[in-house]
Amino acid sequence: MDDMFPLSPAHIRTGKGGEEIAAVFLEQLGYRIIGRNIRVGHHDEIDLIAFDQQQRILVFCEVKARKKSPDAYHPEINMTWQKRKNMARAARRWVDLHAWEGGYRMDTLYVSEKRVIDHHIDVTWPRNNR
Amino acid sequence: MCGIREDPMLTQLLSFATVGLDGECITVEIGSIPGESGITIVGLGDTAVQESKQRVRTALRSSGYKLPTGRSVIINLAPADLKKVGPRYDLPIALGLLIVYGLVDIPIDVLKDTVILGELALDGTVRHVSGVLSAAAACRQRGIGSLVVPTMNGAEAALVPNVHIIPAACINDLVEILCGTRPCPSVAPAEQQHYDAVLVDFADVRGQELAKRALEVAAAGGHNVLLSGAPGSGKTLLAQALRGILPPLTPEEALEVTRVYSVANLLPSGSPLITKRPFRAVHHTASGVSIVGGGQIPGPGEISLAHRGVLFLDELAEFPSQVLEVLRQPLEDRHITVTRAQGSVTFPADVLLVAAMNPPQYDVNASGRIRKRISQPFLDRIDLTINVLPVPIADLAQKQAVTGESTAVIRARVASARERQQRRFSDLQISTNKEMSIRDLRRFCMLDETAESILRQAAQQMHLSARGYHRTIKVARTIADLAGSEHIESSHVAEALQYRQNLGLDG
Repeated sequence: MDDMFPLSPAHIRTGKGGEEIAAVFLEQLGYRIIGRNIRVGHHDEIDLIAFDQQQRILVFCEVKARKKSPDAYHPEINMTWQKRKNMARAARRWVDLHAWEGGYRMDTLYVSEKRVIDHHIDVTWPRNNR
Repeated sequence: MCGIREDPMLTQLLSFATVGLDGECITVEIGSIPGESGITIVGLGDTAVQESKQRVRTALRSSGYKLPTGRSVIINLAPADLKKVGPRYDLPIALGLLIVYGLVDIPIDVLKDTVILGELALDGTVRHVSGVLSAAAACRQRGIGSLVVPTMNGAEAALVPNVHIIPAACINDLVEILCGTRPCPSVAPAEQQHYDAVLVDFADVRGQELAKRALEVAAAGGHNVLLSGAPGSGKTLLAQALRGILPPLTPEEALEVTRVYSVANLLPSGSPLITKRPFRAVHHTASGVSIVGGGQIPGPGEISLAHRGVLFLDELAEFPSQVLEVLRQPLEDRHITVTRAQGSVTFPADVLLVAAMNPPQYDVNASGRIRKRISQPFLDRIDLTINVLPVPIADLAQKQAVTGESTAVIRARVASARERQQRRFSDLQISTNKEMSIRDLRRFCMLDETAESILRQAAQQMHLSARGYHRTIKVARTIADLAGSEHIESSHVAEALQYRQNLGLDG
């Protein structure tokens, strides 16, 4: 996996690898992957957009990956409130741009040691920023 | 991009808000559109209503429902201009969410004919709410067939006939009952409870025959009493003994009182029907609003909680004068109208006022203050003023007390006097002598010539006001009733006048 992007710096390689692992994980759950690393506006990027075929809603995913996860340092702590706000802004912008009329939600996936260790479904949307 | 599942997008459920003592119909509308997941409650709810979404979500999860994501839900409590208070909308909101999410299928005609009330616990059980009796009464008034209430409130709601009560123990049970897959448990209305043991027996109070007699008259006719006397002469004890001789509440009165307590959320959980006449002792630090009722959304005060019972003001002279003055109007009208920006509400306030105080001569420094605090108009509304004299120590020391009559004997006499009054007023709206209007006085309280002349003379000497004059006749009527006499005789008038004692409060 580390050698999938041989010319990138180490942290980028970890991130890209994590997204790949998360995408495979979601596909196994029966989601359809619609896009990866989608840029919205200048600053925002959505790691994964998937479609939950069972509930028939769109899922915006943020993937947090670490190579190793000692007990005291879980990837979850990288999911800051500011990051969540940015993620919500990106998702809402995407919905606006594509005039999506169905339901949608935000998920977060945590990857460590080359497997998905946690999948948080339906992260609460931040209220302000609307 | 993709098709959206065809769910029922809108639903409506009925609930009731409490306004004063009445129920106001609230429509809980729930709409869901695909979008960001989230629940918004609109319709002027207070914090408890806003917090309801957290309670409801957790309760639904722990009841085994998996709520779908990606839907934005709006909950509207209509009419939108009426302030909604408290957690009673939890249950209709939870049920509405289940319907909108397509998780349960309740027939629409069942929903249209059902009012739902209840607070949710996080594990999905339904908690006790206030004002259920008012809601049940409003249900019957509007011809709504069934009422869902928390199991704990079932007996209270069932007091209103012709409304089908559905007791809800938890969400799952309720859903099964409404879907018709589980039989609805029947609810028995709360029953009259037996009289408790008397706290203070009149036989235990030594001496004070005049005061005991006055309390008997007060209990029989519902007249207001002021006990004035030296410190330690037994005023408070006498007032508590009064509880024992009051007649039990009639079923209609019990419902009236229960309704006030239901709205105030003061019903004892074990016995949801109040059958004992209330006795409310108010401390002199109480504010005017706490006594007559009020608040942003007006609620009943002490005077309404003492409806059909006794309002006891100990240390009357310590009450601020403006607090005593607010009592004047409800004492006369027997109801109180509380007006706030949100609207005005009328509560019943038919009380027997018992006040106790130390007369000015026992408090030399404060005599002027006492005179100032207790105004003439207030005193005028008190029918029986008694000077409670200190009991000689010799009387107390007697081993075998020369006791007066026991509470049971007096209670029987009071009951027969009340019966007599009820028979007399059978074609009127009133039931006690104190409620008589001037016209009723002319009809029922004809005085013979001697009685009339005694009264006229006394009125001149004692400077009785017109109200005082009429109140004296009413007391005389009660004394005649106690004696079993059809006519008011001069001795009855004389006794009534005896209870208009001058306490040195005027001038």
